[in-house]
Amino acid sequence: MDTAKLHWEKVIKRPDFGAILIATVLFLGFATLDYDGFFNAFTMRNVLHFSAILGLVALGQTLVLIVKEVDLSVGSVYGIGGISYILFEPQLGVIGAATAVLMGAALIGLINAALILRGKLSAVIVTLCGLFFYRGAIYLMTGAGVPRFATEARQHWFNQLLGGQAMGIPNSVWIFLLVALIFHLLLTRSAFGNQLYAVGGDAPSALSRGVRNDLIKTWAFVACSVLAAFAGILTIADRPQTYVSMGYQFELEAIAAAIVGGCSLRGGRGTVLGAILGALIIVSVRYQLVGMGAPSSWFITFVGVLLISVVVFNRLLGVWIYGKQPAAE
Amino acid sequence: MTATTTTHGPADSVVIRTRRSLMRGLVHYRETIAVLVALVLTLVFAVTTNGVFLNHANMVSVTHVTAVLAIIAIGQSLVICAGEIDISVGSIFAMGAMTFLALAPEFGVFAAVGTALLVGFMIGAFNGYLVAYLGIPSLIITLSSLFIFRGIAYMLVQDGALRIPLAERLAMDGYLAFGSGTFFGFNNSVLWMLAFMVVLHLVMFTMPFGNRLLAVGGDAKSATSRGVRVRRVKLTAFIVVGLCAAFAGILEANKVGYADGTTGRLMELEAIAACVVGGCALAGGRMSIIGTIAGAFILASIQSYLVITGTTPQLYLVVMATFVICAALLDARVRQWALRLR
Repeated sequence: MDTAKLHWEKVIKRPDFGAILIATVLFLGFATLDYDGFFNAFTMRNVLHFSAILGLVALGQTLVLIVKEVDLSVGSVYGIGGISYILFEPQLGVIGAATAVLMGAALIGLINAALILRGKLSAVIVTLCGLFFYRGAIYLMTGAGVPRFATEARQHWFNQLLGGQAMGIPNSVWIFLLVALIFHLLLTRSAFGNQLYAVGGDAPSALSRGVRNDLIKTWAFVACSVLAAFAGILTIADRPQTYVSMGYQFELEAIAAAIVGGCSLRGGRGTVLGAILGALIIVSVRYQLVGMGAPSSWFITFVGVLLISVVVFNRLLGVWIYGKQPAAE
Repeated sequence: MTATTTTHGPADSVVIRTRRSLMRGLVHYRETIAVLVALVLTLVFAVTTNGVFLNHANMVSVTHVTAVLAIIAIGQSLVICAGEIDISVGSIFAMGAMTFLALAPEFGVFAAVGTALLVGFMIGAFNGYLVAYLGIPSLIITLSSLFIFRGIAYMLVQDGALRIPLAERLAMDGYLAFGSGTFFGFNNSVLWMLAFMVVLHLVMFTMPFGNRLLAVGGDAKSATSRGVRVRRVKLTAFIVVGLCAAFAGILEANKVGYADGTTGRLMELEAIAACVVGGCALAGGRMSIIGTIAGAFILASIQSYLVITGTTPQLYLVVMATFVICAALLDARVRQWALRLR
């Protein structure tokens, strides 16, 4: 067999192949049909910033999808993370509030994992209830409106670090890239990453090889919730004003980003690069649509169409590569 | 050996037999728990509100909310029974409501209902085709359609709203047949719910289709080996839930004469919650139509109770989530316990 063909096959079999393809086509398209200066500094800054936020949540979702579970509560956790960061700040100070939020998020992840793994409930039901519960909790905590961040708190070095910018690029992007690098190394170079894929790919085999499936899954859920809440903190550090609807339907965007990035609900597939590209695709399309003057409602329709196209494309690609008929069940 | 024979003496056997049949009831009739909880909750709510909960006006509103939610949830229970899930029902609900309101003034009520049902059918068929024939997980497909049709719903009203004034509504031929009219002071929607219940209960538990659907959800491979066309059965389940959700949308739109982009938001979650509370197994193969209706009634009652007692309505989300988790945990425990005693 010639090596060129082997190499080509290796690329095409990457789980994030679809995302790489779409991102390339999309950005070539944007560059040629540049209606309103998509590549100007202001738009680019926003696109990168919001891609970083969505990317963090999508990254957490990717971990959960790799172990063959799903977390529908990330949108509410993102919202409650950001809003409690503001609410806790007067009593706990900036650092204290951030710590409290992240610890709370870890607890949320633990509760999810406990109910799913110990309680033997389906992840869809548990995290759907989580979505409700934390959204309701936001309403109960805030009443009607969300208070603004105090000005002194904004000036705090921690918020400057999270919300400022360096070399013309928002710090949120740098932080996201750092987190992504850590998770990339964790997934590709460490035993833990190997175990994550093993648990999602074939749980009984993983168990027979001595992987503690429940422990690995618990880590995935905890990481997912913590990353979502951290994304909430980053959002607030950049823009101190928000609404009770913060993060509404964000879980859908995060899942869409993860799936576009090559994750499969069947588990065992997904990469960090895929999550990054998935988030970038979704956010940049939103800005391009807004730039073209499309009503904001078009965006969610587009995300849906994109999601369906990607899964159908991946499905057909799989059939084409492996010559398998689509499964009946 | 001797010890067992002594405990199974004639005095004990009646107790044991009753206990066994009770346990078998819990295992076999999945709606038992939901119906019992619904009765107990009704009693508790009635007592703690000094009867306000049970008065006519409140019951009219609770039963209408129950009916609309239950019609969606019944459809959802079929899909869940097939081992799939449809989270786009809220958007189908909105599309049904909007199609009805947009067409009713011009083309008459029945044409509007027909078209709205056609829309539900098409969306259901779209979901079902992609899930059944391409083998893509239903969570992803229906998540996408949730997005797509919610966006289209916003586009249809251009961030405004569709409404028909009351006088105009009442002047239309046949308008009162769908949700606006009353019988004994209750909304017609309740009659529609009962019709759906009877038809789908008979289909599920007396006809071959129901048997096939249960088989597909229980074990798709065995069903295939027995000659069940799994794909077609799943496609049908998705079409039924599309029709149910669109019809529920028609009933609601008919009653309030108003729909905007947020119509039916969170409805998908409530419908799934009603199924879980009603004893449907999310893994598929086990379901109950009556239990699902009891589940919808429980959710509607909790909502109404929070309003009556003057608690912040936002508490509904928190209470509902806690309730559903407890119901799911309890359901599994009670069933295991009952199975062991058998």
